[in-house]
Amino acid sequence: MSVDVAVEARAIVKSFAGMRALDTVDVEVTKGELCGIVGADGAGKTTLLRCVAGLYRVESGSVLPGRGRRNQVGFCPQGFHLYADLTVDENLEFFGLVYGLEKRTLAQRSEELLRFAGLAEHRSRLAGNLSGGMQQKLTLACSVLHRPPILLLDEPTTGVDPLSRREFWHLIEVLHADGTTIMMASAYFDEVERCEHVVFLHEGHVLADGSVDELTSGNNSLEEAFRQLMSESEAGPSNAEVTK
Amino acid sequence: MSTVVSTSKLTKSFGKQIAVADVSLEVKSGEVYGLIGPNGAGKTTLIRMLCGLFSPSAGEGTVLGFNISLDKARIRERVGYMSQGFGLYGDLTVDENLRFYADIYGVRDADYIAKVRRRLGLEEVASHIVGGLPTGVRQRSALAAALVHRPQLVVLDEPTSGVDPIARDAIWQLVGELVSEGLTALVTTHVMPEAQHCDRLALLAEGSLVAAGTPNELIERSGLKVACIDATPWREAFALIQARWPESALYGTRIHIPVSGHGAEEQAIRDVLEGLEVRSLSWQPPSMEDAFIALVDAAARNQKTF
Repeated sequence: MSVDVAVEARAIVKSFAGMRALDTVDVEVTKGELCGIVGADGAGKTTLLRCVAGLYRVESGSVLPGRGRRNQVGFCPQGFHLYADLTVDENLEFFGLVYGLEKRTLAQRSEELLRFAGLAEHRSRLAGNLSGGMQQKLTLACSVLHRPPILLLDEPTTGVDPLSRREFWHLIEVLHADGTTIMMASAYFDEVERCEHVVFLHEGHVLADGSVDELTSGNNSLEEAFRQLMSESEAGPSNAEVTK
Repeated sequence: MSTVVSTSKLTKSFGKQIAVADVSLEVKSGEVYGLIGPNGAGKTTLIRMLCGLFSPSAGEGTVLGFNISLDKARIRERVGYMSQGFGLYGDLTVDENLRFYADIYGVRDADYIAKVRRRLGLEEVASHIVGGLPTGVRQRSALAAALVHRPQLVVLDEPTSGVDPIARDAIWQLVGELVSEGLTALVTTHVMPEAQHCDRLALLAEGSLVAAGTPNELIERSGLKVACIDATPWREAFALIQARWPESALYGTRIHIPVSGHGAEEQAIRDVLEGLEVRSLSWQPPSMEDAFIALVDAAARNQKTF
């Protein structure tokens, strides 16, 4: 793996109950890149992120970081996965201890992240009582406690209102500008257009992979490019893959 | 065009909390009318008053000519309501759910139920358990359940939340077709590019109507333009721009700044980036989301001056 590569999936295969969720997928994300993954339900977005995070063992192929490199990766799963009956502070403390942070480092880092996420004045509230937007920001804070160089986000803004979505994106921009490598699955093209690198997934295959400019050449928008590739792939075997 | 929904100073309080304040709006027959606004803006409360589920605290309104305070039962017979993330039984099949809703509304016409099922492309999944279906198909099934009693108005609360781009497209296309066949649709959404599918929009914030009009009218009313900058090194450029315009955002390695008003903004941007290479600086119309945020901000500022 070249020194500039943060995430590397080589021909990875992953099946569930005999169904191939990922079928020989190759993806490479450069250090510091913001990479968006887009695709329909069941395209394999979540499975890909989970393989990269090391939460799933791949059947064949290789993936980095992958298993056993928990400290390199922060993972924000889809939906609300914090402890609803713990406060904001207690959730940060719990996840900090899971990542093996020392008490003093953890206290310092929690303060930093509470300010970063704009949650300082809500620190004593139960996580279950926060608005959807605040819950997402807390999830993000918990996943970067250990300063991971790679952050994986699974549809982080689904069901979040436009103001909270913008606040959430501001946090992503700060992490991106600081050099964190970010891989994000999203169902929204306006979000994916903000990424330097875009991967279209379809039924476990990479349909296209490149920059927004590369993927939209000849089309008006990323969404149109995606729809066109989808209809071509439904129509027959695809040779439409755009390579980076 | 006849009026399907009309409200005048409609208000709903829960104790001291005012959820909807003095909202006056009109939805015409054959429209897709969108309700947008931040969480807690009062969208769902407003919808529930219009569907005959809540009584207003003050003001008045009619739906399909019926008074929303007095004729709740008649309104419920004529309105199909698809609530957010709720409605279908996950452990029943699509068909069982449709029959259940048909029974509630006293619909005995099996042919019509079959027609709705066909219309919504649910025939192949009719005997599938709802809980195991992809979100897009579940939402289409919920829409079918809201249509079995031949409503004249459908009210859809975030119909595409969590639905993938292709399935989302199918839902909007379906709504468009149903409307062209004579139905009227009232839809809430958090997804601003989707709000542009609506003929007209009402923007609510903190219970009040902040703006109403076509999507393009709202974009124009925001008075914004967006500077699109390609500068290198981009991280440094973004840090400088953010310090001066906190509302700026990154699109890949390009920077967008929503700017209101006129004047020498371009020079100000070049001054901030002095010493860096500005490869390009162009102006774009704002997105629906840019307009949304500007209008909500302006409303919050106005409120503070009173």
